Amino acid sequence: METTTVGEGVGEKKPKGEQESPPMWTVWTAGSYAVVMLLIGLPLWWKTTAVQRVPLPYSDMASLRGHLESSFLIKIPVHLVGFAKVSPNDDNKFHNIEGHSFSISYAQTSSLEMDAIYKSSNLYDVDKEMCKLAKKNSNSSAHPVTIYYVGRSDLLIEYGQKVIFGNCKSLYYISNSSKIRFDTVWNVLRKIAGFGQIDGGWELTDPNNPRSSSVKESLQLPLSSGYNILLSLLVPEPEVLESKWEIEPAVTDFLNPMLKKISAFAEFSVRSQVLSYIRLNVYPKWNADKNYHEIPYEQLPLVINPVESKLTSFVSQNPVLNFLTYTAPCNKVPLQILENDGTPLASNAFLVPQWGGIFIYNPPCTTGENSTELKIHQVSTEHVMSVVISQFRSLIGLPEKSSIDVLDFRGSALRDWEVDMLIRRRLTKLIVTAANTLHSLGQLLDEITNIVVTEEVGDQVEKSVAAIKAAIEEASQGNLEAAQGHAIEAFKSSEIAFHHPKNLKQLYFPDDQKYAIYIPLFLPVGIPVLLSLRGIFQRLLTIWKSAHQLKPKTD
Amino acid sequence: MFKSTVSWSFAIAAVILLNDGLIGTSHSFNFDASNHTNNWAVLVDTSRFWFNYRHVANVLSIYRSVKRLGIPDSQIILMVADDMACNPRNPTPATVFNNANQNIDVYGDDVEVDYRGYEVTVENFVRLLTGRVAPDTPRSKRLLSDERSNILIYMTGHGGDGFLKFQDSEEITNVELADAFEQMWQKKKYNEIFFMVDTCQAASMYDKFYSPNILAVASSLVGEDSLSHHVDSSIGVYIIDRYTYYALEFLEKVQPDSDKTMGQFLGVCPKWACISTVGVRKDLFGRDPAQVRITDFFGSVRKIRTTKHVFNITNLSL
Repeated sequence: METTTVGEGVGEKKPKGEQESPPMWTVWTAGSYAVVMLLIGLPLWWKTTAVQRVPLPYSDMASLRGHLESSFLIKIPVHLVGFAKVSPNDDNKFHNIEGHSFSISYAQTSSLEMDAIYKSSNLYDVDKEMCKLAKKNSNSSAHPVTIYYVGRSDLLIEYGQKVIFGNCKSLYYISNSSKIRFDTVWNVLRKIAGFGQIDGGWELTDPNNPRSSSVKESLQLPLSSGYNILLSLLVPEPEVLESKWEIEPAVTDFLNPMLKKISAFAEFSVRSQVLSYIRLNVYPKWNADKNYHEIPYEQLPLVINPVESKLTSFVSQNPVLNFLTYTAPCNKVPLQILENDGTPLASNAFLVPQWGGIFIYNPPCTTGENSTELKIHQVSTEHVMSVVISQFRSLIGLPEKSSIDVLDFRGSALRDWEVDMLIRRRLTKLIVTAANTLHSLGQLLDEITNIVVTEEVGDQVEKSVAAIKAAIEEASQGNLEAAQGHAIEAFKSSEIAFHHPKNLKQLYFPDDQKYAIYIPLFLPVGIPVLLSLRGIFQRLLTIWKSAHQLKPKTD
Repeated sequence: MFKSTVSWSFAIAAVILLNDGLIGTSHSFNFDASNHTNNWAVLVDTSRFWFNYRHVANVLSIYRSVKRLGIPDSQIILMVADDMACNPRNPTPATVFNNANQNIDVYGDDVEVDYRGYEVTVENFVRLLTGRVAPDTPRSKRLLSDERSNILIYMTGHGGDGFLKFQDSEEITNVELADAFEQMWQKKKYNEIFFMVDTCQAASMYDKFYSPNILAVASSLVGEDSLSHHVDSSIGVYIIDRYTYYALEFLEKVQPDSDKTMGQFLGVCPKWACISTVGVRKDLFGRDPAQVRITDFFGSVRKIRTTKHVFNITNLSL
C-alpha cells in the first residue's frame, strides 16, 4: 500500500526563500482598486460634501463701503438769477459741502421773471408766480433750485436782508444790491443740502458724520421700499354717540397729492377703518379750574401698547404708519392732553416716531337729552387731515418748525425742495445700507465657512453691486430720480441676497462625530487597499530590479 | 473709547431731552442711558410631553411678565413645543399654572403663540433669528428687530454640555447659537441681547458667544443640573423650575417705571435657593449691568413727541 505522508506531495513545495509570486493580474486588480479609490473616489467625495458656494465679487463687496465714505457726492445744480458772479469765483469751494457737490450757473433775470418779482404785491404772490413760471418752462423734477435776486425795498423793510425759501424750488435773496457774498451763498447751499434744520433741539442729520446712523436718525421712518398708512377712527361708546367719518374725499383731496409728490421716496398705500368699543389706556383727572379732563404727559407712552394689538393687520410686509383718531367718550369730554410742563397741548395730538400718531378728538356731546335715538356725529375730516398731514411730515423727517427762513405753506404740504432733500437723504441711506449689507454678507461668509451660497444669491449680489455703482454714478451727475431708482434696486437686491432662505448654515458636527460617521465607511475598504499598495509597490520594485539585472552588461 | 464717547453724548442728550417733549429719561442720573428704541422678546420652550409641563409653564410665565411690563404681542415671538392646556391629562383644561396654589393662569385667553407644536424646530429657530424665513411667513412669525432693538431671548427645556434638546429628537449646539447671534450682529438686528437659559448645564450654551453686546445668564453651570421647584399634586407633575420661579418672584415686584437694575436681576436665586449655581456672562456686554435698568430688556420703551404745530388746511387747497 502506498502511504502518503501528510505534508508531502501536496503540491510542489518550493524551497524556502523562493516563493512563487502571485500572477500579474492580481497586481493590476489591486492597482485598479487603489486608482479608483484614490483618484476618483476621494476627490468625488470631497467635492460632493463641500458646501456649495457660488463665487461672489468679494473685493467689490468689501470695498464699496469704504468707497462710499470717501468719495460719494450728490450733485445739486443751483441756478443764480440776477446776480453778479460770486467772488471768490472758485467752483471748487462748492465742491464738497456735507457730502453734496454744487454746480452753480448764472443767468440774467428774464422779462417774465422781472414781472413776477416786481409786479406782485407781496412775497407770497412772487412765489406763486415764480412757481407757475417754473412749471411752464420745464418739467419740475429736472428743474434746478434757483435763487432769485429780489431788489425790492418794501420787501427789504418787511423781511430784512436774507435768503427766504419759497414753496417750490425758488429761493429769494432780498437785498438792495445784486452782489451776493460768498459765505451767504455757502450757508444757503448748506441749508439746501438739508443741514442747519433744527427741529426742537435735534439736528436732523449729524453734521459730523452725515452717513452715521444716530439715535436721532432712528426717530425717522424705518428703511423700506413701501409703507402702508392706516387711518383709524376709534369709537369707545357707539351706543352713546356713534361717530362716523367721510374720510375718502379728504384723503383724495389732501393726502393723495402729498403721497404722489413723494412717490420717488417710497410707495405709500392708504387704508382706513373704524373700530368700535376700543378705549385708550388713559386715566384722566378732572381739572375743575380749566373745565377739562386732563391726561398727564407721563401716561402718553403707555397708551399705545394695549391698542396696538387691535390695529395692525399682517397682510403686507411693509411697515405700517398708524394715524388714530380717538373720539373721547361723552363722560370724559372735553379730554385734553397736557405737555411736559402741564400746559394744555393745543393740537391734542402726539406721535410716536416710526409708528404713527394719535389725535384726541372731542365730539359735541349734548348733555341732558333723553332721546333714545342713536346719535350720529360726523367727525370733521378737515381737522383730522390737518393733524394727519402735520404728523406725517414729522414722521418722514421734516421739521415741524423750520429754523431756516421759509414762506408759509401754500398749495401743498410738501415743498419741492423739501421733497428733493428727502429723496437725497433716502438715496444716501439706501446706498449706504446696501453697501453695509453686502459688506456684512462678505464678512459673514468668510467667517462661517459652512454657509451655502446659491446661484440666486450670487445673482442678487451682482445685481446689487451693479446698482450701487450705477446709483453713485447718477447721483454724481445730479440725476436724482434715476439714482433713486438704482438705489432702491440695490437695497432690495442686497436684502434678498442677505436674507435668502437658502443661506442656511450646514449643521455643526463636533470632530468626534465626524470621525464616527466616516470611519465605518472608509476604513474597511481603505485599509486593505492601502496595504495592497505596499504589496504592489514591492512587486513593481522586484520587476524593475530584475529588469535591470537581466540587462546585459555591455563592455 | 467708543463707550465713553457714547455715554458722554447721551449724558448731554439726556439734558436736552428733559426740555424737549421726549420721554424716556431717567429720574436719577445713576443709570447708564441706553440707546435702544424698541424691545423684542423671543421666548422658546423646546420640550414636549406631559411630564415637561414645567417648561411650558416657565416660558408662559416669562411671557406674562414681559407683556405686563409693556412689550406688545407684535414684538413677542412665543414658541411652545407642546400643548399642555389642551392635553387630555390636564385636569383643568385650557389653563396652565405655574404655582401649586393655582392663583395665576398663565395661559389665559389672550395668549398668542407664534410657533406651536412641531413648528418649534432648530431650523425654524435659527431662521427666525437670522431673518432667513420663507417668503410666505406671516409678519407675526418674523423677528423684525433693527439696529436699535433690545432683544430678550429666553430658552428652556432639556439641555446638556454644549447643546439644547429640541422636541426630543434634535439639538442645537452652542456653536450654532453663537453663529446665529453673529449673523444677527452682522445684519445689525439687535442693539443688545439679554440671553436667559433655564436647562441643565445651561452655562455651556453661552460659552461660545463671540458677538458684542450680549449679556447672558444661565440657571446652572456645566456639570450641574437645574432642578424643578415643586409638584402640584392635582396636576401630578412638577410645574415650575427653580430658577424661573425665583426670577418671577423678582419680576412680579417690577413695575413699568421701576428703578430696579439688571445687576439685581442677575443675583436672583442664590445657591441655597436654586441648588445649582447661576452662571453669568457679561464680558461681551458693553455696559455695567448694575447701571442698566431692568425695563431696558423686560419692558418697552415708547418715545413720544407732542405735535406742536398743525396745518391750516385751507391754505393747502388751492
